[in-house]
Amino acid sequence: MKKGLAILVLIAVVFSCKKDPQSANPTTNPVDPYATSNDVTVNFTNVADNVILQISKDTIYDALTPKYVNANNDTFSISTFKYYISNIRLKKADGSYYVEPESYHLINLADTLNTAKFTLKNVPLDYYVSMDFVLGVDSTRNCSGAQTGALDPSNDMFWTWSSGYIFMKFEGYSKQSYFNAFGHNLTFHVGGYTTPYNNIRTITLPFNAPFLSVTKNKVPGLYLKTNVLDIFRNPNTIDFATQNSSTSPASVKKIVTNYQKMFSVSAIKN
Amino acid sequence: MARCTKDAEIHPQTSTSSTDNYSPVIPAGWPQPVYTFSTNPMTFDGFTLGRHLFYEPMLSQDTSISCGNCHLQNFAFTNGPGHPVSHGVHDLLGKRNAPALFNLNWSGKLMWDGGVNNLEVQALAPISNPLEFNTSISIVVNRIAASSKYKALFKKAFGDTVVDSQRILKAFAQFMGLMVSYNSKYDKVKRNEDNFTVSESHGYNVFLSKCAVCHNEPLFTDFAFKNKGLAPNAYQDSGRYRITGNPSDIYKFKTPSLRNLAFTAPYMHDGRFSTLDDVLTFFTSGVSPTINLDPFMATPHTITAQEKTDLLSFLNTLNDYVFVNDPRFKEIH
Repeated sequence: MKKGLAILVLIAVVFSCKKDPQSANPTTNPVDPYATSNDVTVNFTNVADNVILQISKDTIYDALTPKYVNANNDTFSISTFKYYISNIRLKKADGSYYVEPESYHLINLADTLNTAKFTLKNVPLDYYVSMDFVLGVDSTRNCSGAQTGALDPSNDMFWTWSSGYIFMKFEGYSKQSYFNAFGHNLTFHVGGYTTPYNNIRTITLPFNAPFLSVTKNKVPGLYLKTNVLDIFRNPNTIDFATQNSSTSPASVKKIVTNYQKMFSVSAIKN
Repeated sequence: MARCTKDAEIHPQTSTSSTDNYSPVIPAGWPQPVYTFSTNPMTFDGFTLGRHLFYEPMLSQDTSISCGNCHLQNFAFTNGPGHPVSHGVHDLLGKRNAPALFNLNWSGKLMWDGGVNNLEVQALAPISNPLEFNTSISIVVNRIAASSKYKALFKKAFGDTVVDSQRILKAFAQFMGLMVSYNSKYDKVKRNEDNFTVSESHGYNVFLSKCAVCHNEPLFTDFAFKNKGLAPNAYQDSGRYRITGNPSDIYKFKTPSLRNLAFTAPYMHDGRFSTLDDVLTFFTSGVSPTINLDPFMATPHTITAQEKTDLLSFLNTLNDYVFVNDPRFKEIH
């Protein structure tokens, strides 16, 4: 008896999830005429003034090759640069806010592809004149027990000996740094959510006209710059020979005063 | 933090029948706990997962030790006599006495220096301490996720086999959060199920006049940080100061509970006293006038031989044999 031949056709469909607002095409993504909100992409670029920041490759030679110069003329390279952006709000002209729910983002220089760009969902159609966010993690989440997502302690941004998040972790190498068993290291870990060493800072970035415009036609993009050199200058010029390892809430005062000015808006693409 | 509702209150039972119970316990007359399981509902399977993790050597760098190595149930989850400080991987010695584990839900800040701010993140401290497990939560997550035994336990506890740090930590909190010690003779007397002897009763009065200022009933601690005048040890351990950076916290440590003292020797944050006799001798004649000395300790305290005998009789009524034999907390593999 002759058996019928079964032909299995396997169709593999590969979806490319590209959410670049510039490639959004109205003909393939029909606009919902009834939409009352749209997405906004937020893009961080880590820089040292005009140079895009690079993490040292995992080789001794590269790690020890200085790439940047701080305000004190100390040269340095970077092995770790991570920071939390949380509680993002967009301000409308009338003074009311879009507030991102569950707003916790960890930007990691070692993984900019996956961390330096994210999407604010369901932003009401309107003009927005500024944004603000917490550099770090709000005090509530510092003491609310086991968290997940960006706040997962597996991200190595949590102090286990004195519970709380590390808001910013900068590690690197500088020849000017005091030589210890680990080499000429730079280690700056910012955290602390209780007085008198509450290092939570809210950053406000005003937008220039024509501001951020959220329409049903297009997903606008917010392009922000994080300038690593600002961590070490204005008003406190950090001399790596004398300050190269600060890893407690009490010891990072100068860094905190400086680093809240490291953000700027480089472009808004409406 | 959210408070427990009155519905969650469970009235203590006198027999070991309470060991069938896997619901959070708030003994009658106790204050509301700080940790309430409001975002971590207690279940038998969650608790059981936590119990396995507590006795899991994969948590340590060389898979040689588990939490249970320094926290033994028969010593009210301390390390026991002869171990003034905790022992980590490669026989490394820690710097402090492994604290007793019971009634942790009432302690807002955990550890001798209060460095841990929530029961759910407590386990992270020994995991990453180089003198204890010397590993990291991400390594632990990977090891647990690769284990067939834990796949089944996670499925039971959480409905699927996904392993992440949050689930591990919440399971830990369920296990440790059920460790409530409330079945000592003292508790039974308070419940009108037993009576103090004459000596215990006299000792209770000595306690009230000399100890209760810090060791508040019914938990026998005020959970405060105080310098009671212990001379600084070889580590120059500054205690709470390391956490707060506040000079007025130098040499301050958390008031330990007086419950289960028969099981928890040696005493103090560095286990410097082997016996309660040593402790009482310190309080009457060994106080060092270091900075931030607690005002109560600054004035000399005396105790007669009879008062001492009676006080020790009373302190012995705080030992909870039901707790240290409770089968729910026994080692499991």
